[in-house]
Amino acid sequence: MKFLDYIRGYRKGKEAHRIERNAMDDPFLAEAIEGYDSIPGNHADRIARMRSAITARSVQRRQQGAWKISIAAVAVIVLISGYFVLLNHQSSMVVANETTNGYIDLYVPQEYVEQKRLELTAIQEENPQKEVIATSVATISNLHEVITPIDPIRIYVPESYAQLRKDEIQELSVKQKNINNHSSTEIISTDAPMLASHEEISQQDADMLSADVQNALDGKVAGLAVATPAPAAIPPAPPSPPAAVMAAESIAEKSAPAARSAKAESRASNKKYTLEGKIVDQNHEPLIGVAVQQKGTNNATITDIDGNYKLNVDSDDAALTAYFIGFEKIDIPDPKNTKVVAMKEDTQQLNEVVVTGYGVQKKSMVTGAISSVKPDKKKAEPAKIKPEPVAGMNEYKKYIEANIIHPENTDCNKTKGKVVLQFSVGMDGHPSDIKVKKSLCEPFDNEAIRLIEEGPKWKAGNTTTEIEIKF
Amino acid sequence: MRFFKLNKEKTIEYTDEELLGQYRDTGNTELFGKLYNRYIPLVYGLCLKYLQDEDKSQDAVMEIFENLLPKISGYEIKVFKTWLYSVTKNHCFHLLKDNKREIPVDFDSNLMESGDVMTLLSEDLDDEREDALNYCMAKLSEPQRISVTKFFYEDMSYADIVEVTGYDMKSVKSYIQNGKRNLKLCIESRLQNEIS
Repeated sequence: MKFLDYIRGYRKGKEAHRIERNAMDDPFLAEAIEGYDSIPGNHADRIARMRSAITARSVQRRQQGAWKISIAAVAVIVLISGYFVLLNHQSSMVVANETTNGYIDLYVPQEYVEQKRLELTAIQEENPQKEVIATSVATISNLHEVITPIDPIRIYVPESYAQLRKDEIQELSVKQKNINNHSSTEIISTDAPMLASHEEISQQDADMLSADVQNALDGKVAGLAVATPAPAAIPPAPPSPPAAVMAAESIAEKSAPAARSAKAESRASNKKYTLEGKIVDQNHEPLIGVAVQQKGTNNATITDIDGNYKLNVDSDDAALTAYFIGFEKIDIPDPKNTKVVAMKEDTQQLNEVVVTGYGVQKKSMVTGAISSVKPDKKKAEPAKIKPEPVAGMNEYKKYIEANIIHPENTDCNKTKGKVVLQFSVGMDGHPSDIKVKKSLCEPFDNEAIRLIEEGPKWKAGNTTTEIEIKF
Repeated sequence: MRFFKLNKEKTIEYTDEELLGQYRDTGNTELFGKLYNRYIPLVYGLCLKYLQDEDKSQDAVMEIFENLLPKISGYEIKVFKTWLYSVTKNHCFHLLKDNKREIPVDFDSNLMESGDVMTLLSEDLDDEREDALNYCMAKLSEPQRISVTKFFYEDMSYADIVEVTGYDMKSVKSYIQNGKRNLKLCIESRLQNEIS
């Protein structure tokens, strides 16, 4: 290659002339020659190396194309065969399962045990060849030792169902007395009030509920472990059946809509008196979800969306107390005649948590106007407000450009870049707590700080903001 | 081995545009590799001029190849050389901008203007033109005339002229450049005068 020779430095003779001559017409050539003239080095070598690199690359690329296809093909084949392998594997897995002898413990009602035992024995008698393990059903005589739940499982059911079940169990326990004493269910009836609001569940809903519960319970006592005393513990049914419900205290705190789903109700009760009223706050706004409890009992209700409550009590002089988080608890004076009760906010609850953004801050730590959010008060929490210049960012930038003084006679005179400052703006509109987030050099930083300190005012915000000053 | 030789000869025959077309048709990257290899000296040199660094220039050469390989089939290219020239220049400018370096401005563009002078100096001319040429040559300053004559009529390279005349390289180049320009101006006005 003649050009290569020229590059190597052979500048004499006709060939060299020709190249130079061509360079006059060919800017590509001319500039390349300039390049070689301006930088010393072994250019020919480099060129040779580059050429072999390119050759290698272009050959490799071609092969890569073929490779890609073959890899894809192999992958497809692997996938397909893998699928078939899996299919086979799965079926063999099923077979394996069938032949293992694992024991699964199933807790079942007593009568079922007996039944099954009879069944299996019958099968064995019929088919002596068939291998049936009659002893596979065993009674766990010490069930209550095996399973002793701390709390019995409570099921809240309509009273009609409770009655039904009680009768059944009574019959069963008579049967079972000879076999086992440990499997009766306990039905607890109390003079408990209804859990929900004063609104009544319609007959229709009640029927539906009882049906649901019945279905749920039917045949599914298996797995329901109960530890109980002897059947004698079931109290005799009083003439007018009470509600079969145990009210947990926590229920009373649930809000009105949730309580509806608790599926409990007391329709016919011996609560003769109905106490009603309304609970409001100091601004006369109704408070929703306030717990109103009959003192000394588990009889409670909560206020509805209008702040009204209605509680059936059994005595004439029932005392009521109202509880609500964030407010001081109050004894309702003269509940029979009191119509409206106002509750006072509880200022001591400083440790109530307030959620702002991603973190959790204690109310006492937060500076600024944040109020706790209550379901009834629909106050929006203040969003993060970033400070901005009163006249607007465009105007502010114009100010910067007009007033920026490039520090002279400094070492970093020639530096170019930007300084980023972070600061807050208080009510006075003046930047404060100025921090240099990104520094260029001291004189520039100081100039940036001077600019914003002496500059136009900012609108206050509750977070910091940043500004870039370009030099 | 013979096979390879044959192969080589075959590709040497093809023009740039033919190779390019073949690459487009077959997608055989080897073809483009061969084509690009022809131009590596030019691409590398050009990059040297702008990037002023051997390693950077080498990287640029490889980068340009990688960039072009997938895209080149999509372009309508009439003359590969001039197209590659722009691509390379742009690539280098891009790199320079990224580094915020100054881009050397090319003042040699007037070199290219005097194409018509070149033809005058190389071909057989009609009497009119020849007279004008002779006249104007005589009007050149001596160093310019000597340099121009030696370069264009005696097929001497710059280095040769340097050796023969004792002028330094820069001066030789500048005499030739200025000489050409002066000739052009002189001949043009001469011809115009003659017409009018």
